[in-house]
Amino acid sequence: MYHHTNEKLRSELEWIQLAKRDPEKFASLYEKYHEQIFRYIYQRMDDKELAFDVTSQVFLKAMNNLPKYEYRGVPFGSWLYRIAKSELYQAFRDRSSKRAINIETVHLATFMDVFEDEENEINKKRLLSSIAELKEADVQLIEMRFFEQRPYKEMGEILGITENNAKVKTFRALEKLKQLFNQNNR
Amino acid sequence: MKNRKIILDRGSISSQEIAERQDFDKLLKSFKAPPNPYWKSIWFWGTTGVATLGLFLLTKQPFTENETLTETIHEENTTLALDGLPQDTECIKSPVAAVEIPFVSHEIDPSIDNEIILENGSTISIKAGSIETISSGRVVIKTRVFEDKTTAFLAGVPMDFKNSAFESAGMIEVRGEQEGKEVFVRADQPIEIDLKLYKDYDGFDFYALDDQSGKWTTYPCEFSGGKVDEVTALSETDKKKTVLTNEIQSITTQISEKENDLLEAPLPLKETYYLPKNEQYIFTLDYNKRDFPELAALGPINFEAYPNQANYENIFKKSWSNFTIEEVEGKYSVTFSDKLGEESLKVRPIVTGIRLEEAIQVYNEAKQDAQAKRDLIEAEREQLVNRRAEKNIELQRYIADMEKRFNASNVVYLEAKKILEAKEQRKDRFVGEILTAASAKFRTTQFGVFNCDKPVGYPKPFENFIRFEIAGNVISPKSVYVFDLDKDVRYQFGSLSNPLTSFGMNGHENVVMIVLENNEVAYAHTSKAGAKQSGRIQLNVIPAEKVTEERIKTILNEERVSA
Repeated sequence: MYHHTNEKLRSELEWIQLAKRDPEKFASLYEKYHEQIFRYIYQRMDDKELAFDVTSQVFLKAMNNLPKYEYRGVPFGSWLYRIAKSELYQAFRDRSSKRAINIETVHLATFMDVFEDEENEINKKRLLSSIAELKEADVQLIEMRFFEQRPYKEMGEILGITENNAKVKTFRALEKLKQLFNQNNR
Repeated sequence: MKNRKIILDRGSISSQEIAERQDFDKLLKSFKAPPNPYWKSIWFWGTTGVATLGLFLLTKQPFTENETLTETIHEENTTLALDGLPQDTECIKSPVAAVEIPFVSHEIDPSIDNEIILENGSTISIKAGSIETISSGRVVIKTRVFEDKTTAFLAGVPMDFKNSAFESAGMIEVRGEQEGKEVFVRADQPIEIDLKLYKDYDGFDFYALDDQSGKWTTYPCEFSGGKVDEVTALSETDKKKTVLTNEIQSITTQISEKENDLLEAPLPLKETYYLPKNEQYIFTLDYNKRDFPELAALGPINFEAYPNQANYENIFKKSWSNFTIEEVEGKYSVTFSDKLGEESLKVRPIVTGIRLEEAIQVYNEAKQDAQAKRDLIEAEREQLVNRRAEKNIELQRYIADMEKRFNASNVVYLEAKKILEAKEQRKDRFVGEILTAASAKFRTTQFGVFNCDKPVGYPKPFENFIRFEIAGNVISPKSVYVFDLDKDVRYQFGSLSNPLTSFGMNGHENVVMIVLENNEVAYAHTSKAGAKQSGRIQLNVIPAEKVTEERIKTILNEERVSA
């Protein structure tokens, strides 16, 4: 789980302090966050092997930059997610890998409910092309909230904004998606 | 269309597979411990040595060009210099050794006219040949502008004048250096400094600091701009602007809350009420009701497949010998199988018969309720959006009035407008910018510290002895600073002219600060009445490593709002 009690945050901070002194102690943090970070990256890529490579790169960068890490009252994971985001975009630039958006049919059905439209093949195509047209910042919000089903609190921590701001921004992204969806009707 | 690839229904990857790919040992091997500092390496000294020698030989070449050009240097192109600064002069010594207010360096060619423009708009004009140089190379002009109590305090600039303390409206320190050595201004060719002030100069005078004695002497200068009445009038208008801006911000917050409310009040989903959405994907299964009591409780049900599943057609073309239903976190899937293989389909249960009619009715009522709620929120949001638009129009009118009022004839306004045009994004600091339009222009043949000040008398000493305490322990400081936050003045007790026995403070908000021997800083927000009544001042301690300019600014209420 991403979210932590104060007690867990404190014990995580102890791990970090130990790892700052001895890199081998980073193992606990690596084991704890490896799957989360991999899934975050793989959600945005279509190449599994490349996603594993980028994940390793994220942890390597985290280890190298650990002395500069400052605790800000949020789980260590939010720092890793930010590194992951930066590494992802670096991978897109370096390796000509395309940004991928992974969607499940079940998720599309949720949108159709929200947009009060029928689930059919035409609407599905309209929705997919609308998602593809969204700005990157909006895609990220839709992706985190609806495809990865993250709580707003966690989204806020990953994106470096408040929980409420994450809610409002997501709402606006959804409105934009709805607009594009309606435009694509013609 | 953006450069993206949409992938639909990619198979999931198991936690086990991900865990198997964990390889911390490999990661550890790739991890490199931080290298030794570069200055400890041989290559650094080799390279640096060669480069230094080359630079030395180059600067020794005669410089023959005789330009009449003026070089303009903007502060944003220069660098902050913390190393290689001239030593603090006797009288300018930071009270907190670990915190230094950095100089900003401007490299100039002393053989041509130069104009250095500082970040606050102040300018330093140096004519060709004004500097007594050591060689024909470039000269570094180093500047520090002090616009608050914190920077003047941390830089260690003395602020006492006779038996008063200085309240500053603008202060600048200018130094010259060539090849690491101090250079001077030629006695017959003064440089000209136009110092932008951050307060109106009414009631202020101008002073220069004698580096040797640490004493201030009055210095001739020409004040301009920043008249009190214009600024006051503008402040009044600006107050209205602030009220309007605050109102707009408050409405924006309310709009966000409404948007949030909308998010929290979604329309009901048909799925929640077990209603069908697509008639063509419905089928019946004779499932074991004991295995799925929650489905049995719904009465007679059918299953509806989620649409757009690639294998849907294949499944329904065939006859299957067996099926199993699986439930994961309230989501159902059916796996059809026979001897040749199996296919899975994501499904949801839907009610039938009378239950269906009931569910439709309940769903429609819930939808109507939710829609009514959403309509109400939407309407309220719409009202707020309109109100915000009206307030924005009102604000624009005020700004236009303000422009009209101060147009053409008013020099202050024109100067401020010029600054505003250059910094369009900083309109909220309008009054502040106008105040900085006030300036003190002076010509000088010396580098040093120059200050637009008003002497403010020291407060009356307390009648009783005041104890200074840290965590219940009484301390005996050598020196105590008192920052009067209302008068914008720093008093220093512990000197010959103002010994600790004369300790006192004004009846305003005060911050008492003591620099401890180990570079820790102890401070307390206190009032004259409080100290007098209790006979003591209890101080908080900032550990030495946490004493920073920002921290002191926070204590003295001088944090800057970023533009």
